[in-house]
Amino acid sequence: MNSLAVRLFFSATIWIFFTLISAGLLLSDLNEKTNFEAFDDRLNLLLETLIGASRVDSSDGITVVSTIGDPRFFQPYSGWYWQVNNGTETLVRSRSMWDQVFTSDKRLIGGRSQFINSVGKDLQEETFIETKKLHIIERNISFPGINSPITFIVSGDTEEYKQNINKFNKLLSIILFILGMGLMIAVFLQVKFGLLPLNKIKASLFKVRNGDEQKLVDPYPLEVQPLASEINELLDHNSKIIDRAKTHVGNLAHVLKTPLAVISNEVKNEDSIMKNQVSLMKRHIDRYLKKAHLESVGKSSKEKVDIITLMKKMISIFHKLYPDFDILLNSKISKAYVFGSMDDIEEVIGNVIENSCKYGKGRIIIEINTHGKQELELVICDDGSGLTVEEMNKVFARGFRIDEQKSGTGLGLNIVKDIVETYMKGKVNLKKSKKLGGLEVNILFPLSTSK
Amino acid sequence: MRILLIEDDPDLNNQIKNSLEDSGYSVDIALDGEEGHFLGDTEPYDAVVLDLGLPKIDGITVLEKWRKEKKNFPVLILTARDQWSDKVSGFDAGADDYLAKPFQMEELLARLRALIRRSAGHASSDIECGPLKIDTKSNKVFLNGMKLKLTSHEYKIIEYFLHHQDKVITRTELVEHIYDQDFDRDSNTIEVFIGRLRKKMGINLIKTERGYGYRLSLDKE
Repeated sequence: MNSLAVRLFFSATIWIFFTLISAGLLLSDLNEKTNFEAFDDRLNLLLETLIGASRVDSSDGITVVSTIGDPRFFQPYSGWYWQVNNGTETLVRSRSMWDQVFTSDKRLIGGRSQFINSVGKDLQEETFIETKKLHIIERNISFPGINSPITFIVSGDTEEYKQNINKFNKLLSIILFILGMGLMIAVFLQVKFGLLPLNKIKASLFKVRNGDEQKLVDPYPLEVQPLASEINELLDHNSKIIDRAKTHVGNLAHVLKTPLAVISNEVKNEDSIMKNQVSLMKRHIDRYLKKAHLESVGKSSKEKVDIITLMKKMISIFHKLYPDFDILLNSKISKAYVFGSMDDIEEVIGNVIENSCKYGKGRIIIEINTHGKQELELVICDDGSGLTVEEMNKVFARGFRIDEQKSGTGLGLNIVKDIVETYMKGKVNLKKSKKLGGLEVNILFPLSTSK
Repeated sequence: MRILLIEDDPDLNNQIKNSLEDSGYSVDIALDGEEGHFLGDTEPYDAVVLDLGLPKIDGITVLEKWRKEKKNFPVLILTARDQWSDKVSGFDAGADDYLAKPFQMEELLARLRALIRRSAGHASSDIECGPLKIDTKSNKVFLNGMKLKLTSHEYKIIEYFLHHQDKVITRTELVEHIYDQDFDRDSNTIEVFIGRLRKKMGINLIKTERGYGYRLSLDKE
């Protein structure tokens, strides 16, 4: 039983089953007793009525004139009988007994209560007489002038209260069954509802893994909160380790790059081995730094970023970095928000425009359009020599560089694709620019819907 | 042209200083952010080369402080960090250009040259004033196409004049921009240099503004 839900559900079900069956048995038993007592009371009452209605005359033996008004005592073999005995001699009996007589022992034969004749012969074979279970009570009363007590006997058909009991039991079963089902549904819902915070934790953790959230933020129930807090602590701890590692990488780069700058400045031009090795070291450092950066892409916190404002800022930076370049921004919209990390989006725009500056001749046109309310299109084209179709397919691969002479790690467009397609659910396409003849980079971002 | 160089690595600092001086700049150096910030605050520089990873006060903070104090000399930042977010924060703080370590010294010089030129409002590396032309790339001065033979101090003075054409320049200003901090300054030597320059050029482009200083202009006096 690996599932918490199944575990809770089954334990509750067993408990419900046990409780309901016990309750059912108890109720049924109680009901049977009550019914029996009521039946017994009624028979006693009938007996007393019979006794009260009897007149005993002992002048010429014993004559009993008795009667009970109930019509069932007149209906043959109804199960409702009365009889008055003097010892073993039957003095008088109800009409319903017809030709039968209660003998003194009134035994059960074959587990059934039935009439037995005076010689003890089973009357079962006389099929017209229904076998009935009778409840028989008797009372001996002594009369003055008569030696032996007179025995008054009254019987009733137990079928009457048995039917009540059966009816009650049937109803009880149905009610308890419905109650059980209802309880099981309630337990099911309760388990689902009770375990909801765990599902929420799972969903939140998924978001954290995706970088949409930093930690578990929702308020959790008292019992789950410690778990959520512990997870948050762990996430914090992990991100601290990652941050520290990133800082170490950055620091390592800094401390290595400065001496490298010193060495490369000291190396004489004719010392080609030193020169090559130094430039190789530069390349390696840059490559691994970029790779470390690539690993960290998409992990930083996300926010709503206004692409237009950011683009204007980036263009002003490029005006400083490449003062000879004519960079034109065409945008009909004044504000457009995408959801992502500022660092990542800066990296995307910076890398693409820098590529255009490296390979272009002097003109860059940037267009920003929205397609409906869903997508933002960023088009950056240059007037360089562009790329062949084959090169366009290769350019997103890690480490590929069109021109080995130009500086760079060959990871620029790879990072762009990674950020846009993996972390921002966008799309990057390359084609030949119709306007300027060079490369056109087309980036589609999903627009942030919450304005 | 007077440059402030702030770089905490003494070797790199020394190398850059030497290269800058070889290219005809006067260079003041600082090895930490605090000293660098103080120098930038008190001395008039034509450009600053600023490393970002500095002891005491980091480069970004130094730059932000200067810009808050309305110091608007062009600043070239040097850094090992070359992610775009780092570059953007550098430019946000007020940088004018950015160079990632390790760099080629030639690139640093070219960028610095362009920076100084742009901040004076010149677009090309050649600056002209009538028959006088200066190639800031090769530190050569031409008069009617003929190369003038100038000492390094004479070059520094004529370069400063060409960057600030038609502006009155006081002797103190010239001294501050020609000599580095440690130089034994004597404003009288300026007069000597001006005299020699006028003699070498043959034409009187450098006018004396009595009571104020000098002015490089094509105007007739």
